[in-house]
Amino acid sequence: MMELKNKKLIQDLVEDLKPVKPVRFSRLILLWLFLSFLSSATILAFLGMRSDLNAQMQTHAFWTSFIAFFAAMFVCLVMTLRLSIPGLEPKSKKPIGLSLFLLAYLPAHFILISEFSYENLIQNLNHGFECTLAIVLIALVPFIVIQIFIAKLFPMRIFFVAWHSGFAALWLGSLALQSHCMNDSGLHILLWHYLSVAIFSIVVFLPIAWMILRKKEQA
Amino acid sequence: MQKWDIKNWSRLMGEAQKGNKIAYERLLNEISPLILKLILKKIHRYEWALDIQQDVLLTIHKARHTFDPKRDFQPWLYSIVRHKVFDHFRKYKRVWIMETANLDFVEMQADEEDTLAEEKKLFQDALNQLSEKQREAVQLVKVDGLSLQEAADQLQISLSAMKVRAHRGYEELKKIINENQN
Repeated sequence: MMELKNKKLIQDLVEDLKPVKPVRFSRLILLWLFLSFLSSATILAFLGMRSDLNAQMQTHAFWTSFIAFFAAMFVCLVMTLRLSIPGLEPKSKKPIGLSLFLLAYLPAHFILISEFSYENLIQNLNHGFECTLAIVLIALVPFIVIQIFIAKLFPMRIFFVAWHSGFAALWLGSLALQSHCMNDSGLHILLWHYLSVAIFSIVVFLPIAWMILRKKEQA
Repeated sequence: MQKWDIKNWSRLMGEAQKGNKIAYERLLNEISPLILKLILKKIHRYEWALDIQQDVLLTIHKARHTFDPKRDFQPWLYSIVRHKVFDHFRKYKRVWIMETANLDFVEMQADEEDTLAEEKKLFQDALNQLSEKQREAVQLVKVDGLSLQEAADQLQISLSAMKVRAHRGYEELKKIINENQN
């Protein structure tokens, strides 16, 4: 009886077969990076670039922050896609460990480059919310794009996919905002380019992505 | 033992992605038994395994575009099977726990019934080894549940004679049972 049901199912699936274009992991990464940098550049063009960008690009601090945010964004992007394509999901826990390490490394990095004092902390706490808003604005398009990608794939561990997709978009926002924000203080970057963004990702992007993925799974 | 034509599967899936129905049918027919085998390693209930097998076949169909023909087919397939089995455990965890608990209860009941049957057999064997008078007395009082007076009336003997017969019968019965058990 079950054998017959199986045969019938296979026949139905064969009849329903239509040509499909296989997805390529590397192509998805490049496409997301291209679309995200394009949308970020457009928003930055409206917000305006910092006047001393050329001078800043000669400094060590600019590039270490840039590389730290880029590495975090790239690891989250790779994890999101690898967890959404069967056969590519990490066999060990090392990649998840790496993404958590970067999450912990970033604040440590910004604390190290900041001149930490109570007055400095209070001063930075009072100014900087607009930076978080700008990061969220920049991250919106990359977040939507990555959700569209995931919807067309086969996400397996939906919590981790939702987690990494939100962070990938927001770290890209933080990365892009370095070209706009004039405040190079480590404490400012830690508070308004990192902590508030991480909280936003967990409180807003993670539940949204998780709900989308749950609906897709139930459909 | 069944041999799987694993190397050919990547090519067949590549063809299926182009719309080749013959290749797709061949692939699905070839991988179906392997899928079932993989599921049965994790889930020992055949009817559940068959349900998951069908779910896996449907998922393969829906997610066929996520397979890159340049890669091996096996990790892709195993990943879907693993995910579906995990999904099944997650969805039916409560049912599974209840059914497992129910199975344990049924097993316990069956064990108790077996023990009871063994004890009955031991008792009956011992009863058959008693003398006829003692057997009658024990049967009426211990098995049929009559009082000593009722049993004495039925056998048409005095109450004191019934008491003696029954007492000797129990003693003999205990002795035989102990001997048989040892």
